[in-house]
Amino acid sequence: MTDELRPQDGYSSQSQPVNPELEATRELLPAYALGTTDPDETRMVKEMLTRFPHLIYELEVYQDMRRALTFSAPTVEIPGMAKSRILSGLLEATAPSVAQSAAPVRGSAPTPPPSGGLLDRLWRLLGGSPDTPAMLRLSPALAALAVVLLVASNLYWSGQIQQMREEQTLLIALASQQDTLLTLVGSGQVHRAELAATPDGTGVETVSVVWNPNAEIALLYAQELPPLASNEVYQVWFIRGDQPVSAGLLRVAEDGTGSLLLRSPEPVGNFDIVGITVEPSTGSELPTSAPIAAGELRA
Amino acid sequence: MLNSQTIAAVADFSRTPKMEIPVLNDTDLMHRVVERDQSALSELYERYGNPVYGLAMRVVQNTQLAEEITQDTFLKVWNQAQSWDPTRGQLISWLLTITRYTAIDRLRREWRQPNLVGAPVEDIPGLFSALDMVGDARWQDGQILAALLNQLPDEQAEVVQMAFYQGMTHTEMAERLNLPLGTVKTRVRLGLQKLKTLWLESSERQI
Repeated sequence: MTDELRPQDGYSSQSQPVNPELEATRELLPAYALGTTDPDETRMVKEMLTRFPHLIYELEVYQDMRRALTFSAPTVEIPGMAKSRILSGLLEATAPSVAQSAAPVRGSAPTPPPSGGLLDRLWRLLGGSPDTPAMLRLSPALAALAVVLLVASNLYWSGQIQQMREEQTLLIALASQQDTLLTLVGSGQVHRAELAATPDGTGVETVSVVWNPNAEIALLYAQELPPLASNEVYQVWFIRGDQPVSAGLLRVAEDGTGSLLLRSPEPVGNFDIVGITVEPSTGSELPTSAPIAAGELRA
Repeated sequence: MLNSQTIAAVADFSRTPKMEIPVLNDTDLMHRVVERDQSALSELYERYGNPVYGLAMRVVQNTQLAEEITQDTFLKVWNQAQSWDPTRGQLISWLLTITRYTAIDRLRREWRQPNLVGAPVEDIPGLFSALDMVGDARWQDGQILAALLNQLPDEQAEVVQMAFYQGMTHTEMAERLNLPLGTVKTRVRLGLQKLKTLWLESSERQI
């Protein structure tokens, strides 16, 4: 039996001998294109493709079909709270990592060993003999210095951890229901303000912002914001004086609900007002329309 | 209530000069993702979150898993953004390919340790109403194929969908369906050959 090649557009099985290996490979091409072949079948097809390269032309249409099948699933709008949860998770997972290296304590550069006079007084205070060599007198001083540095370092990092806990609390609130948000308000650690509709804010109701004056994030939660056209988005701004700083883009579900973790380049307490405008869907560097809602950031 | 001073302060800032911000194309957006711009990742998610979620739902048929798969997909994009080559295909194709593999991988893990929670897809009314994608040829091809799958005999459509959406091999399908391996292979082959024929015929009708 010869290795006869069959043209891809039909060949009389009565006139030419058939290569069973080639036929078996041909029959597996559709499944191979879909990734459905078992490992031994996959190996066989790959080997036959190198021996009979023309099979690639038969394979191509099935590969095109597989690529098109990628788009065969219907697009599904992500439910409102799930959409916020996913975004929160993405932002949290991709946030720049906090420096964990042992940074030097601010404002406490290492001090040189004390002078002879001071060392003598300290040494006597600790009950040491005046005959003890000077070098040995350094040990308790260094030990005391180490304790001071350790305590200062602990105080610094305790403050950092507390701030991170508060930020984490706000993040958890973003993914929770409204009653959790109200519980957060009652904690005393954060403040809450209602945004009121401006004359341009027709249909705007129940927009709240929760913030910690010392943190650089805040939470905005809306229950009744009119849905916008697909080429528009709500943009939130922190405002100090007449200078706005973008805090993020807010998209609401069909029922007008939406939530957004607001990000600020500095502690939120430095700003006076939070406002919302309608902007093009990719946002704006500066507001391009009159605000539809605003609230004061007063602790 | 807002006092007039607050309203005036807020109204003032909107009169600052406008700056036109151009809409970023996919390539520019991905460059920003490579540069670790979180707002670019947010925009990417806003742009393609729904089709990614839709494909995830199609594979796993569970809302909780689909949500996790959607997040995993965009995290993979964030971590592998430099791998996308715009000369080799559209970003959406790359995204959906990642989605499919992530979903199949997750489905396989659930099979080994099933603990599915969340609403089954059948219980969510209107969830699968497709968004309007008229004019996008890739989506049209995909929707045509989805419709043509319904024209296959049930046993062929079943194995083709198990093969593509669940990433199952011949042997795995034979075990799952409790059928001889040869029967499964034949159904897959005939189903795909018929699907190809229908697809080519529909393409010729559109020309």
